[in-house]
Amino acid sequence: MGFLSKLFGQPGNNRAKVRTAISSDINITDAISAHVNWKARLENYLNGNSAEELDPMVICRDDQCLLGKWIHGPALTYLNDDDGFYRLRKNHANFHFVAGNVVKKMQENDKAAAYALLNSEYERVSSEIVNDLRDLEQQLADA
Amino acid sequence: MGILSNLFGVSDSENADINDEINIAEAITAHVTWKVRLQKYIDGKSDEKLDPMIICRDDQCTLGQWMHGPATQRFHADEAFRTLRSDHAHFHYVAANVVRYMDERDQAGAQALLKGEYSKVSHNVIMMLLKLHQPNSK
Repeated sequence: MGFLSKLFGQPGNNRAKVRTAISSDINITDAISAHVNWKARLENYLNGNSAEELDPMVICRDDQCLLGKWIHGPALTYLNDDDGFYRLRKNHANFHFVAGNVVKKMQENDKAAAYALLNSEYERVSSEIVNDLRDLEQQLADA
Repeated sequence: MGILSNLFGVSDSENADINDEINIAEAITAHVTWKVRLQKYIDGKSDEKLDPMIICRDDQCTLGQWMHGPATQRFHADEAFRTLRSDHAHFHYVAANVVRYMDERDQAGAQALLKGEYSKVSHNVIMMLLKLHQPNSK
């Protein structure tokens, strides 16, 4: 089921209100970019071309990035009954877990495992969360 | 929080529903027991293979599964619930870091974290769970 599906049974002005609220609380396009960009950040890290100090424990948390703060904050007010929202939340947590693990493998000097994770599991969880966000972005645009 | 909190002021029927979803007493025990598990790990007396990346997740334990599922639907507007979710996430993060310090052979760092930040955040989570367990004695 897609986002805002429960709201489609309601009067149009309520839907519009929720869309406005979401758009003012978070920039979904920015959230998509931030999560797409992780691939390059991780690749740079694996290739030794990164100046970033990445902490797998911090990356693992799903409530620290801008999207995560929204998911665990304002989003609950209007999406708490939306199946799509729960899927997005799960996919977002999985994404951070796998991204954290890529860094962890690297820090354990297991570059091969880090690459393997990046090219398999990471690809999958990344496309899941990005697809969810694009779906949400689309529905916000379909006023 | 307090007066406006649904979390700590649930009705009897809601309380029955919650009891069907989760055993709060067991969740308390599970989180209290972490202290012992971590201390054993630090002391080299643990048989457990602890993975900081798994511990770090706040949606894998029984309490986390409840909080991220049915409890969110019920308490999403509740400030106390949001605090509990955040404290619980922080608990798992700090517990994971204790294990990570040990894995990096920093026993002193692990012990300091367990005595400091861990104790604080563990206390917060457990006190909230105790209140949730006894909603009428708030």
